[in-house]
Amino acid sequence: MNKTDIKPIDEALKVHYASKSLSNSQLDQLIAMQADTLKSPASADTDQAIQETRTGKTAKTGLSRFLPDFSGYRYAFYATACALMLVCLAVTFSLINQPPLSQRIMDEIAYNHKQDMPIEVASNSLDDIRKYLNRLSFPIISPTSLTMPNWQFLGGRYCSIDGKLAAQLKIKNLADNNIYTLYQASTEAGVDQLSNARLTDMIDGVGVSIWREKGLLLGLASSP
Amino acid sequence: MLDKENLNQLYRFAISLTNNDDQAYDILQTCVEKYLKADLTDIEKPVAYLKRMIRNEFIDQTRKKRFYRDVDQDVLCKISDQHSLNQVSLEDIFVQQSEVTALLGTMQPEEREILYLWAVEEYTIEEISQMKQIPRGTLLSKLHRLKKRVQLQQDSDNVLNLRVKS
Repeated sequence: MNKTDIKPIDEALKVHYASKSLSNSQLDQLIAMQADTLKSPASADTDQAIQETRTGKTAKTGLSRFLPDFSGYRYAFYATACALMLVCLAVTFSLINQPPLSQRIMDEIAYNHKQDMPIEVASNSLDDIRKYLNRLSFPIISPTSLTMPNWQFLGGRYCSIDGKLAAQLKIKNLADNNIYTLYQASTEAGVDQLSNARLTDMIDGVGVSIWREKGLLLGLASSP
Repeated sequence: MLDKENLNQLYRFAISLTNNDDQAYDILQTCVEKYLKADLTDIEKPVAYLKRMIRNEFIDQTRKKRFYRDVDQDVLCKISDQHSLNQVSLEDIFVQQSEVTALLGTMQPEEREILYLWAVEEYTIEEISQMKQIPRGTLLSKLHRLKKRVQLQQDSDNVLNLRVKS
């Protein structure tokens, strides 16, 4: 044992810890870390620049002065912007792919016809039906194309066409004894975008015709 | 900005806690990163501030109860506290330089920290007491136990080749 190696504990500890030093690469790394963080614009005051770096409150220039500062919650802002963009795309896509109004109305008429809902008022008189369906914003008419006495009213009920209150009338063709449903709706809002020409189509086995007459939208549906 | 001398000082302080060079560097690096994210305008003494950070980081990394655990009961029972309220003189402990590493390895982190602050940074017992917010009597008691334990270890197995000058 080397007796000269023995010394007071404080001296021994000093020597021990003096032998412990960061390597050059470790020192470089720590100093570079500080330099990167403390890097500031050359023209700005150093302390102010450091503070701005910490808080993210950098001087605004140009248009950015008039825009809200979203830097504090950048990722939430990006996420919200992406979500809004997706919603806009989805809405645009659905609007582009939506069938035309006339097609939607004919689909709705075919659906109502197939439902075969019972009539609320049974009468052969148009006046009686008109009086019963008094919540309509228009008077029910007798279409010129359905000339009496070949056609006979059986009754009617309320229904919905394009989200609006409308009338569904049951009429009988005395020539072939078939029961038809006649629809009458106001041409307010979007319905007046329809052309005046009569449109006819076969939808899910239901023959549907729609046309405009005396300011109303009329539709006729029949099962073969 | 911390210069090389500051960084080495903090590194040594971290070693006094960890007794492990790699862990000391990891803690130092973590604390420097946290320090750089802090509001530097509020920090008057960066080195002292970082020492507190290093100590807290070490406690976080180590299990707190292990850091503050008492020395073994069989050792404690051999140590009388009757002199703890008097001045404890550490200068009269002599050790062999080549055994310092082994000696520090037998100590608790808090003991190594106190010894480091006293021997290397040359703080007085009063200053260490204020710095660590430990009552002076408690600190003296800890030092007294530490000194006695070193003596006991030396007497019992002679592993550390310590010699106490009386």
